[in-house]
Amino acid sequence: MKPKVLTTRDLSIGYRLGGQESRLVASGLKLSLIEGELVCLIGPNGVGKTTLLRTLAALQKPLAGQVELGNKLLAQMQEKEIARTISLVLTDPVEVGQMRVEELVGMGRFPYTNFFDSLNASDERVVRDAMRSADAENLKGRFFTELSDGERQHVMVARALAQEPKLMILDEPTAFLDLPGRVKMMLMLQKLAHQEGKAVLCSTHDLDLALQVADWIWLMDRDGSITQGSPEDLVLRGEFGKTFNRPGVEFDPGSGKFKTEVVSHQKLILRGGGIEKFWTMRALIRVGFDVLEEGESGLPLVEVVMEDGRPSWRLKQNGGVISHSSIYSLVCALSEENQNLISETAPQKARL
Amino acid sequence: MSKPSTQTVLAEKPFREVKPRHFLGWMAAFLLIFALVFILDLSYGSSKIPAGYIVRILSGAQTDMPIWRDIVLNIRLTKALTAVLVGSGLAVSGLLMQTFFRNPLADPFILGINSGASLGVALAILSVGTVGSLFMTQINTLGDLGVAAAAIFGAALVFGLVMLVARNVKSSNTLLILGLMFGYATSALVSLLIYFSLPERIQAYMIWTYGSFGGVTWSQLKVMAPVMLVGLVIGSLLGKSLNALLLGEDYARSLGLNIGRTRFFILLGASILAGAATAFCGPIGFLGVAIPHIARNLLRTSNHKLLLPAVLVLGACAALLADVLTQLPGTAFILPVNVITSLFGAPFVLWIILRRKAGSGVSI
Repeated sequence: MKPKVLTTRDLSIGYRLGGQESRLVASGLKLSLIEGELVCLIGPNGVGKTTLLRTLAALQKPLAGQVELGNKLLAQMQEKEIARTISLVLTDPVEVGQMRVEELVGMGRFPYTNFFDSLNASDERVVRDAMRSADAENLKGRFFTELSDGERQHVMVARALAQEPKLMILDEPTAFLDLPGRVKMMLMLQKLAHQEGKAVLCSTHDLDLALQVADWIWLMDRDGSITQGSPEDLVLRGEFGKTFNRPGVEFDPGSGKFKTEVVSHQKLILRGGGIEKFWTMRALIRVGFDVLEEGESGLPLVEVVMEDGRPSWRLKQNGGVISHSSIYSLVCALSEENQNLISETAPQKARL
Repeated sequence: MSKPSTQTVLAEKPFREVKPRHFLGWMAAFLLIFALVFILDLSYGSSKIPAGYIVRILSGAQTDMPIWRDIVLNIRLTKALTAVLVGSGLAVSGLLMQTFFRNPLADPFILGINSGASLGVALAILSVGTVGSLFMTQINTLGDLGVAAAAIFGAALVFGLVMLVARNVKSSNTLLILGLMFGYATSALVSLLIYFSLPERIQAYMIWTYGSFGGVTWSQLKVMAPVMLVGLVIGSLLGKSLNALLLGEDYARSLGLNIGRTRFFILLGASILAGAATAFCGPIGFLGVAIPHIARNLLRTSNHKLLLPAVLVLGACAALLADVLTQLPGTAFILPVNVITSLFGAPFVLWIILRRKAGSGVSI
């Protein structure tokens, strides 16, 4: 068993509203973070993910209970000592004016440098390594304000790494990134955990990605309770559905994705193979068909065939066969047909 | 040189310091300007004294014009030293406030320190001949420190209130609004005093609000200089903490910065500088908000370890230059300092900021 970096005991989190009053977000939390593991904190908006992260990072005090860092109590540690163990990447945009990337990353050495804040050779090596690990090396020399959101996020991760923490806490590091940026960021966090032995805790709304890279998931529900486990175990136990399902949206354990519930009007048989069949099926499901592999001969039949190395879609229905050259044209033809069926079954309604 | 070797050289370059050679170049230029403006300020006035004499008088050598020695040492030198201290002090104070409030519009007076000083001075000057004259006679016993003492009293009162609030309130914005409210309340009180005052007293008060480096005597300077130096030392030592604060309070805390202690020293340093400057020279506007922007734009950095020394020298230069410009050539007229700083300073700052490409102009 790898050593635990952080443990909580009956932790209650929330906000003090002044006086004796407080707003409780979650209570009785028993959590731990382990060296070399990437933990993703997942949950609907507003359940208190940020509050939890801030409490673990000592930015706000717990309402009750303890956070232990190594074998010390977080509440009794000096700021500097905490800064040498935990580093952060927050969601607040950083407006630093005229500061170059390497200066900003160098700020991560703050808890190590002397009063005059000058970096020695080993500090500089740490800064350089941090920029390399966070894929920010190519940004050296540029002003932080000139960077794109994705580049900024890599610089902020590099800065957090330059703190040489045992634990990195990131609040929605993928929030403002495009899809490739998100994948790159999550893979980088996984690498930091697995290869550099950091304990990494990040909150995210990218459930799909989290399921692919996380070693452990904290699934926070609306009542503040946290269900834990490996992503796969949680899927099989149906936990994601319990937390996220709402009318019209449901978690599909088969694909690990959310799908929108579309009322199926019509059954349809799809034949063919390869990637073309997969995407055809997605399109058909999107427009509301119940796609079958085999079925009665009366049903419409779509067959994906290859002609001269290009896919073609043959639609057999009502005794005729029409070839379509794109999924879009196939879908248009089918949904027109579908519309006719609906208006035939409910003619009065349609006329009204 | 082949490409790979260039890259190795780049990789081995120190990471942190942004072109330190450029920085040293700028600082050398600033210091040269400072020396020139200092001499100019001493030689310029109702009687023009050649720069050569100034240097000789300052080095203690005898000259054939003993009266010039008197003028330089007893009038112009005190004025120039006052300008240096006040210019540096207000510039450093402005930099501290801009970073602390993360607001490029912040200036040394944002906490309401000068409002307090104004109220003190208004009470001292305007209440003569009214119900408050008893208070005034007591102030007068302090001799030529009278007005300054009243201003210090007022500034200290506001500072005490700010610190009291700062201990209990976490948000910087609350402090900002608090300073604004102090300002409104005190200016209302000052208006009330003006309303019931004698015209000549009102004029005396108005002249104080125009600001002046010339009213400070050697005996006042002996009080003012140590106070300003304490403020400047406090400000100069905050470079590392101010850099961390640039990232925002949460990041600064996560870097191990003791926010409470840092807040205290920033507020203390900025208030001492603003309070002492206002007490002895009146509310000198503009320098505090403008000099930090000029320094940031010339050096192209937000690093306070570089900005603090630059702001220190630039503030002194600007105040000395303003003082030179207050003396209308060929006449004995002396214009108010505040008129000069704003009239000549505003276009200059606009030029400094607008010549940068869009978006990178104003920042903290």
